[in-house]
Amino acid sequence: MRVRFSRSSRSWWGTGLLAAGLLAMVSCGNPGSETDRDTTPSNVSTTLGSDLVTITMRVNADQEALWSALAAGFEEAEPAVTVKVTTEDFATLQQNAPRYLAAENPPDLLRLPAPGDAVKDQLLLNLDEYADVYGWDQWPESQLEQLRVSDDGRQRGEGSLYGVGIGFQLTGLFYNVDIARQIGMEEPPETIEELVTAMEDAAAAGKTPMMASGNNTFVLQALMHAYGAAGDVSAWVGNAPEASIDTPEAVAAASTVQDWVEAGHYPEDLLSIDDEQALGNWFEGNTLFLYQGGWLAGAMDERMAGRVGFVLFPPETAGDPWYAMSAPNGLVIPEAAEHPNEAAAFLNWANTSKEGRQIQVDQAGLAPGGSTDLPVPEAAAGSALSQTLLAFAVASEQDTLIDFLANATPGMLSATLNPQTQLLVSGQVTPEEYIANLQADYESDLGN
Amino acid sequence: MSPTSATRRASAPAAPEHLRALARRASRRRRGARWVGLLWVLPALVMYGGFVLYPLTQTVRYSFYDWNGIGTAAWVGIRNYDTVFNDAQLYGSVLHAFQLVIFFSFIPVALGLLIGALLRGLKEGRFTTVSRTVLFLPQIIPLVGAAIAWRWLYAQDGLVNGTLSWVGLDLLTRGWLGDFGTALPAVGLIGCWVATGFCTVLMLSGIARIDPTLYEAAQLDGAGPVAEFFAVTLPNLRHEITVALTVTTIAALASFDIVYVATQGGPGYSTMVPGVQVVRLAFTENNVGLASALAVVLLLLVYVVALPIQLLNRRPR
Repeated sequence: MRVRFSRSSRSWWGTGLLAAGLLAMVSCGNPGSETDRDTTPSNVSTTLGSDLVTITMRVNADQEALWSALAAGFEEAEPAVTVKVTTEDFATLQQNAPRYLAAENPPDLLRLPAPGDAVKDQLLLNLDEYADVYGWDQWPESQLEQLRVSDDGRQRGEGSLYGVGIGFQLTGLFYNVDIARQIGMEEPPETIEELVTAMEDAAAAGKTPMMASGNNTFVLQALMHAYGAAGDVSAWVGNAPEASIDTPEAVAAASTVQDWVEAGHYPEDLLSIDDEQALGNWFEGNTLFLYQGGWLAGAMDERMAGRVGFVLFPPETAGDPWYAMSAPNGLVIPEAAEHPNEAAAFLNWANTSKEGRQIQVDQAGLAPGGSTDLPVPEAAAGSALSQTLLAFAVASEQDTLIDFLANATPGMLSATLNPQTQLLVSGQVTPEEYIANLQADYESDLGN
Repeated sequence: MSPTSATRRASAPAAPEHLRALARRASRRRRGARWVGLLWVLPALVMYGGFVLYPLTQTVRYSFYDWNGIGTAAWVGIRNYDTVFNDAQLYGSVLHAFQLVIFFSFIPVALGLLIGALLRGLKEGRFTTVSRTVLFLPQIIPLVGAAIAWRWLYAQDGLVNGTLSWVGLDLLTRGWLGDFGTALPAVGLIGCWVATGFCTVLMLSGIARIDPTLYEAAQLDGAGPVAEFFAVTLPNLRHEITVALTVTTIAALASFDIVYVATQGGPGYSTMVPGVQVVRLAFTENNVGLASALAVVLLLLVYVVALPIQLLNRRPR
């Protein structure tokens, strides 16, 4: 007997076959690689050969001046090495980083602030042996701990070293010297109470007390530290087991931010201001305070030379420690990098040579790391830059440098902090809800 | 039919046998033609398979795993789908997409019909040409560029607020994209601006196809412009309306560029849409499984919404 298909039943067969094919593809094996890689380097050496070598580095575009100057400086110090710098927008670079690391031909150096997942996936070179031969382990531990990761990639702050910072970011309170004089603020505030008084005086004088963007969490985090939650925050960002910021201190900080918004210490259109615009507003010269990164010091000296002060965020009571948010400008060497020795030599040169350290200050306004025995590079006296370097030295000595909330998980900044903070400053969530939401998102991020 | 074949057929008594042979040959040729046809579409089919179908199967596959995109993946069954339907942020983004349909689809189609009908009433000349060009212009501007330009317009010191202050409506000025109440409509308006030109041009070409005698007949029956619109223009544009609704609704549900550039989903989560959410989950949070599940849900949703629109086309005219 001949089986005959009508046209329509044939097309049903086709659809069925296609669906079956799709299902078959869907159900075959786990995606992703499971190969076991050896992440310890072989042939570690501090002497570079005389063969001509080109190392590649993929870094953030906003600091291009820094990276190209360092590359040029290193080429001069090591004539056999050519450094090829490729830059990319910071956020894009973070998104693409896992794929660059897993590529067959990864760069020799990559800017990667939070190496957790990449360590778990065995994509990064373990730098312990380099730390040993170059003596990096003699540097202050606070410079290295943010780039230490436990082998399972779950916790930062302990374990092997997977990156080295080139320069340290540092937050602090910029203040407009002219307005300070006008309202009779002789010295920068030494307690939060003095800070509030100064803001009230500024408002009374028709100035904007504090400039910020609607989703910025710097002031919030500074208040958390000042209220006594610094240890909690540090553990939280480092993903320590059971870490929580759902504490009365953190809620109090969120509550203070809301109070300050209501009191008019922030601009009225806070929600529609982004970081770029906040800086633009600041340069108009009608604002007393801007709590931002010391990396802006260069721009301050260029556009408001001599009229900007920089100080760490004050504690709640006089005499308590002055905290700052800080993170190393971390660079990692991929496990599959072609020239790890040269890459490590670059990291060492940038942090320990006089030229490299000066470039960090001149080009990026960053405080250089490295051993505390090394001389601090110079910056013009009275400049915002010299004040940020001083602030970094103070905070390093007091050991009050805390990593940014945003570095807690890959999605923390864009998926949680930005939208939640907008909800907080617009009064759509209570301080309690806000902190609880942060904690909940954090736990769900880590659970994945 | 050529005269020779006609005469041959007339003169040949064994016509049925002869015809059967012809038919056999034709059918063989047709079968051959079918395979040749396949050969012709093969390059396109390979591209479609490689860049659309295969990635689609992979998206479905990933959606059942907990995977960061690089390392080892763990099978989690339907957990990701469970999250999509139970996480307020995720299904909230789907609801926003539906609100955008009003701006990206309904309003532009209505405006397109209206403008099309108005332009038909005008004599073909410089004004109609210029109007058509101006209306279509947003279509050829990259969406990213359009969104950036609109961000300037909506800014605190932008043109929108400037105009409002100028006419004395200072009370209404605000950062339109930063205000929880106005951000989504403001984003929708950008899409409306882009889609209106497309709809208008589509409607105009449809109107040009309508037999002018229908309008004449309507006029003889005493129909005014409004009656003419509802009696002649609207029924004859069913195909165009279907196409416009389908294209713009899909654009609304799958919207990405405008939202990504204008607001990034903010303030809060007030303009978050599935397109932006998928990218954020997959590439910022490295949660490829959940991103894939949301993408699959979005795909099915687009089908469910777009298919009924096709029924408009089915009904006999």
